[in-house]
Amino acid sequence: MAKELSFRFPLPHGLHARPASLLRDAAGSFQSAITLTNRRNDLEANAKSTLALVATLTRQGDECTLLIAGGDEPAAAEALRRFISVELPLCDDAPPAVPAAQGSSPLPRALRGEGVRVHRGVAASGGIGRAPALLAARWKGGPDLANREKGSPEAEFAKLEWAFVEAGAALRARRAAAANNTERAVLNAHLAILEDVELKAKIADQIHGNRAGAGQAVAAVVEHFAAVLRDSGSAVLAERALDLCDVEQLLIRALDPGTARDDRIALERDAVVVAQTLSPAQFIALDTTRLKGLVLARGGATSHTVILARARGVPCVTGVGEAVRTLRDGQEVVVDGERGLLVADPSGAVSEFYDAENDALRTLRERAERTAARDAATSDGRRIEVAANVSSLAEVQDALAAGAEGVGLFRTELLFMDRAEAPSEDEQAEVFAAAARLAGARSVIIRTLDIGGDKPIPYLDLPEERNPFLGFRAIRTYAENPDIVAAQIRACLRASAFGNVKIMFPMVSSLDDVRTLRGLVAAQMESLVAAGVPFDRDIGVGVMVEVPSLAFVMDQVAREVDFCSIGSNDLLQYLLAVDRDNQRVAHLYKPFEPAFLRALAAVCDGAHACGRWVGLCGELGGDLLAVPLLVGLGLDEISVGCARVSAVKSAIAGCATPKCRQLLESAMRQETAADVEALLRAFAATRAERSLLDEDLVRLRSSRRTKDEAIRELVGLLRTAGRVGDPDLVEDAIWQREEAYSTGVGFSVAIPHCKADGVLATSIAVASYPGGVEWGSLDGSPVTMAILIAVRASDPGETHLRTIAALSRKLMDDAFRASLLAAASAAEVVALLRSAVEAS
Amino acid sequence: MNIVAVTACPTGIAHTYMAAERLEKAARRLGHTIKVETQGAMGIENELSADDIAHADVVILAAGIAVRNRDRFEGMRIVEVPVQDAIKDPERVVAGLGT
Repeated sequence: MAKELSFRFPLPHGLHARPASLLRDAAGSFQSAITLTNRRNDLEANAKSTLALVATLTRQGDECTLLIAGGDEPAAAEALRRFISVELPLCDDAPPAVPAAQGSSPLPRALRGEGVRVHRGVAASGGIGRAPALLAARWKGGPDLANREKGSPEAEFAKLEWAFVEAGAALRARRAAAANNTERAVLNAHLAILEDVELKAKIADQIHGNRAGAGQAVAAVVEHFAAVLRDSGSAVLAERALDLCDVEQLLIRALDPGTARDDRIALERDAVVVAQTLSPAQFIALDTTRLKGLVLARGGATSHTVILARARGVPCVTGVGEAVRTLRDGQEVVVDGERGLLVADPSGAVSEFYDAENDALRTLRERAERTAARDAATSDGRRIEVAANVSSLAEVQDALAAGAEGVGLFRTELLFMDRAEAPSEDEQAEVFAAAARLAGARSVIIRTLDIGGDKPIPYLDLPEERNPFLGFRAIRTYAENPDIVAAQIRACLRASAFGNVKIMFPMVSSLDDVRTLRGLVAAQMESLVAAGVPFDRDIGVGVMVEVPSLAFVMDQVAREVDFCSIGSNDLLQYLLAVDRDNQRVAHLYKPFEPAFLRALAAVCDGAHACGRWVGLCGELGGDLLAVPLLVGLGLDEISVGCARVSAVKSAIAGCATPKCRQLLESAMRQETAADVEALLRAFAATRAERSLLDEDLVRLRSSRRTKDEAIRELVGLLRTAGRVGDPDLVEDAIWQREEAYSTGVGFSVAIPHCKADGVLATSIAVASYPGGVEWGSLDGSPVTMAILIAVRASDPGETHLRTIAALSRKLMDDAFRASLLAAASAAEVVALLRSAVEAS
Repeated sequence: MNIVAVTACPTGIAHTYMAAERLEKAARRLGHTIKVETQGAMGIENELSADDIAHADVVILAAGIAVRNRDRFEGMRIVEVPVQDAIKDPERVVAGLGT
């Protein structure tokens, strides 16, 4: 008797690739035939095929049914029911960020000149590229597959089987040679398409049912799915049609190398490639050392091709449309991937503008790299490690490249998901050892399996529970799965021979737990010693502090562990008894609740009293507003998502320990979370206000000769210091002010200024011009010093405005101006300006 | 002579304060008493009181924009100059008031 499950589709972005592949995973491990039917449009799909699922065009709110028929119906129905109610609603990832529509912002000043040929598109991948254009030939239809000689259906199917094997091998070979993790991920997506059950089944139908040749069948089926994607109404899905075409090409090439189109683009010299569209495989095949930029007539910012371009740092503008037809092969072009512009035949002024842009971008990049490479420390010199939370080996690599000072949390659950049996000791040891090698002397904290009834793992036999977060999960399941736990602990120990590995246990709630777990580790150590397997006998064994009980017994627990790491997400949810995935109570999940801050302080103080190292590995660590509090807590390490590492490092660098301690004390005495948040905002504001100017913002003896160049240079100083977000907007605002009347106030000084949205921090920049710059001054004299005042449009900061007013008055003083003009160094200029303001 | 003045400029960031500074110094150098109200980014500062205005012989408005609360000066002698003039040559502005 078949089973049927009905549900309303919950996700706002519909059944796109990610939820579809998760549903496929959930359905794929059962024998039963499982069919999804969308009642809105009556489209049906084999639930074991991602392609077919996506092709049902299921949208939020659609009534759907899953029909399950086969030997393991009850188990499949139970697993899918759970998937639909628990996992599916949570599995929507954020929609990809789509840049602002083209044509929205004004052109930079330098490009508004007459005769400048600018085309607008979508800024798909940042950077500026300049080279002769290479127009990719438009592919004019394929060979006539229908009229090719073909064998019997059996012979054609045999050819097809072979082609799938060859295509798979070709993809795996490309994946092995992938230049980065993004390329690997895209090639994995292509493999998933190739291995989709419905793709092959439909092609086989064409061969057997329609007597199509193998190549013809492949083309027909790919076109069917590609058309569904193109017509789906979703830009993201439509762009995935190109991936299907790549897989098609692989199959066709494997079937008959002679019929495959050769769509590779050979670069014999530096070039900007201009094409109608470009598939991911075509991009991967390009010689990126010669590829200076990419211009696509069609497409947006979410195709795999664009994602690959970003990973390679290739500037890319898409959606320029018919403009590509106006270009000639070999014509010099600039691809402005920052603003989404294509500029043909860059002339003198435009060239200069883009040279300056390139310099500015390089400085910004170098600055970011230097910050990333630097170890984090507070302004008073206290080291705080900023590590990363990861779930895979690939992420370890990304994290270290992003400047992480180790791995603060290696989640091991991913190793256990989507498979029929637990990973072996060898498999895990290999992953952990590779992570340890990558990290070198930096620590890699491996968290042992943290799984409960909320995640279906067939071989763990975890019951579905009413309340899995208070139930049978994490270390509580270890006694029932001794082999799995032993294998994981042994894998960690073995990896410790290759680097600085630490073991961390989740969900520990008492000293009893600690002792039991240390016993498990000790037993495996003995067994490894007996077997003569090398490992680090002093390996750190610690606990994740997430059950609130530990905060009250830190004096006892800390004595018996080597370190603690606060899992702030769960600690908060347990402490406040709030499930933040429950929409009706999620608003109560407040990390700035004074009770929570006191719990954090109890853990830190307790651990430190025993001389133990304490870290934090929850989302709170990545909240820049909270960083001063975390510094005040005295944490030794903060572990955050890879993308937050460098921001947290800079935030720490701006913190002074004593002030942060006072802040924490005061925060803990507040009565509500809102009070704490207000306190933190005020603290952040005063910190941000401290520096109105510094030496980086002073350029003495500049060789700029025109007002245009001088203003661009001053704004550039603010931009490279991260004080200005959108330099074009700021320049425009300054010029708008100049139009009222020149800010050349006489005495050879100019005070250009603006209040603009593009200003991130109210700032002053200074430049001197020995050669003089014509500014249209009130007294007609050329300017030898310009002081740029950029004020943030929202919340400019009262103190700053006061300082600027005082400075403006002071500049009217002859002696002060003379000393400024005579200053020999940037430091002297800054000191003069500061003392002038303080004295007033 | 008792002078009251108001300075203001388009963004209220710099010229308002430069002009105030210049007028104050020039007036004192020429032997007058002066009080200058600034209408800038921080709002109205050093606001002229009814008493200040009652005792004033003349009002200088050095502004590139409309001056707020202008009706306070009704019936008084008002000299209006561009704010940049007050910066460029404040002594001429003051001297031009006559005695």
